[in-house]
Amino acid sequence: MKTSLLEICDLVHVYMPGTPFERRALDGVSLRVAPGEALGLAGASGSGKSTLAQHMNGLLRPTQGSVRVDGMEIPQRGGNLGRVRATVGLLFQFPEQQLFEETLELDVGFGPRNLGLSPVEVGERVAEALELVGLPVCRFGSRSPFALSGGERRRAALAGVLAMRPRCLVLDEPTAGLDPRGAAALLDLLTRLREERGMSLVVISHRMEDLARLVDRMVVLSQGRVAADAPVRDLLHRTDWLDRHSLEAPALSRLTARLAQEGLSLEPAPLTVSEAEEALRGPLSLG
Amino acid sequence: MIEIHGLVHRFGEPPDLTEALRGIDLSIGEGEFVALLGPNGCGKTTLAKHLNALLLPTEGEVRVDGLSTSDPAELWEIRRRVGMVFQDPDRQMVASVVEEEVAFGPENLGVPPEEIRRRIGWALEALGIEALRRAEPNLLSGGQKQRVAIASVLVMEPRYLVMDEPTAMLDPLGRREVLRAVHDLRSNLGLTVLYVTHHMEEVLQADRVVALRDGRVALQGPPSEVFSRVEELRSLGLDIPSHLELAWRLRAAGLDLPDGLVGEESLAQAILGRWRELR
Ligand SMILES: Nc1ncnc2c1ncn2[C@@H]1O[C@H](COP(=O)(O)OP(=O)(O)OP(=O)(O)O)[C@@H](O)[C@H]1O
Ligand SMILES: Nc1ncnc2c1ncn2[C@@H]1O[C@H](COP(=O)(O)OP(=O)(O)O)[C@@H](O)[C@H]1O
Ligand SMILES: [Mg+2]
Ligand SMILES: [Mg+2]
Repeated sequence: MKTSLLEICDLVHVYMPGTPFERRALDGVSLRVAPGEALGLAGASGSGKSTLAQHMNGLLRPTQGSVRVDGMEIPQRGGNLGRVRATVGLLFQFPEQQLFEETLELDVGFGPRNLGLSPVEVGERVAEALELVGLPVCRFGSRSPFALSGGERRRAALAGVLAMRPRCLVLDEPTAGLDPRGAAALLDLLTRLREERGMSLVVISHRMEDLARLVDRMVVLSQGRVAADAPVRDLLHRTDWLDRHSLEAPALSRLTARLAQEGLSLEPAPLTVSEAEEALRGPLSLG
Repeated sequence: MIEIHGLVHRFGEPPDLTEALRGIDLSIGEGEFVALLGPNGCGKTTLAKHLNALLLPTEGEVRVDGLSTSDPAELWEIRRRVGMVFQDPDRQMVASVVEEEVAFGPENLGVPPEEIRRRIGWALEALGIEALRRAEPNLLSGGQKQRVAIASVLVMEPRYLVMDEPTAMLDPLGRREVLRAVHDLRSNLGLTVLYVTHHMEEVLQADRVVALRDGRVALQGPPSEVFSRVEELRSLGLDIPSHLELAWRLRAAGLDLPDGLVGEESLAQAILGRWRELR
């Protein structure tokens, strides 16, 4: 059997145990991500997605259960997590939590400098990462991360993660706050990183149409448990089920489901406007 | 009415000078719902912050019901009339119980307790969250938190509501809850709304869509007109809801569709109608 890059077994996470605020955010979660695989992670707000993401590079430690990154088990406390952090890059849900230097150039270079790279190599990585997220170093390098627009800050945080060239990216709602073109460009970038560099991806998103483009498999969390672990296409058309998990099927899937209800079924179910147009031309005998 | 004339906003000094707004002329009428769109960094937040004097014009002028934001004497009246709601509900919460959270603003203004109680009841009801009165804000879902944030603004009895990506951090359910609440406020209370978003499907029911690019107004009009200009939208880095694009394409191919914007259900009905006819 192929070894997993991420292997999570019966993971339980309790916040503030033993206090009146105790909260069981993860309640026995198991999942695997193979090298080069892309996994989508969805679920209602509060279902535990961000908590799970933070376990994937050891920012949080298991209350119970285990998390393995490329075979290394993350201990409940202590231990050296250098290799884990070098393997898995995590983009936080709130980018403010990972920007702290005075300029973008310093900020994005922070991780690479800590890896002990030469200034030239650091410079190359910073330039490359900023270019990839659409904030060219010539225009944005000397800007303060705190004097950026919301979407620019999110891109900057992503550049910091990319500059580390991790083998696995864990992205917590990476397209929230990005403009439509920026969101589409990010999806293309992630697809490219996966194809060209064999990067593994874990992407948290509420946008099912984005996940459908990006990932093969999707895990849906509900109250800290896995409610589904299935190919995205299998879930897209279960509109009522998605509704119950505070998710939303893409408009075209909703339309397809509605038409099927009335006896007009489109096979295979269209995911893009062009596919839908094609699929409808026949039944509607349009030119 | 809000009037914006020749508004320019510059941040910082050379060499790090950013001209975020480069001459905006815009007015927002009583009761209007205006959606503000545009790519990251085009100036939406900067413009929104001018409406309640969180930022002041480098050049030009912003008037709220005739009061100029540049006049320090009018600052508090302008802030009371123009309520702001931001993206991240967590960062807007200060109290440990919803009703205290909502009472915070009027208490600071010295509104009498009786009156505060009346306003809280009214605001929570207007947003459909009466049941959350004694709940702890931290334990609420995103959509609930954001409605608490709106209630905290509503108790100031504003005439204008400026919302900067209020649904960006929410799941689809929370997004629907907040959108419904905003539309209710507008129809029941006649509030004027400026609504910033990157989600095109949220603005189909706006009265007017304004798109910025590089600190200038690049495109504006009613949604039915703006969303028929597909190429122009794309060139601005914006998008069109997929069911609408499909509707335009099917209409071009000869499907009989009602004029103007088409909802998902009317698109389904038009498709099914034609399909049944052919069978
Ligand atoms: N405090 C600041 N200091 C310097 N420049 C700033 C500051 N805030 C914003 N800017 C710059 O002003 C421009 C407009 O920013 P603004 O926040 O208004 O954009 P926005 O349209 O809201 O973008 P987004 O969709 O990313 O939220 C951007 O180029 C941004 O980098
Ligand atoms: N730092 C924290 N302290 C205490 N409780 C938390 C913390 N972070 C999250 N929680 C709680 O854990 C649960 C899961 O939260 P989270 O992982 O953020 O969910 P999601 O990302 O799916 O919205 C929620 O009930 C949330 O309130
Ligand atoms: Mg989260
Ligand atoms: Mg903004």
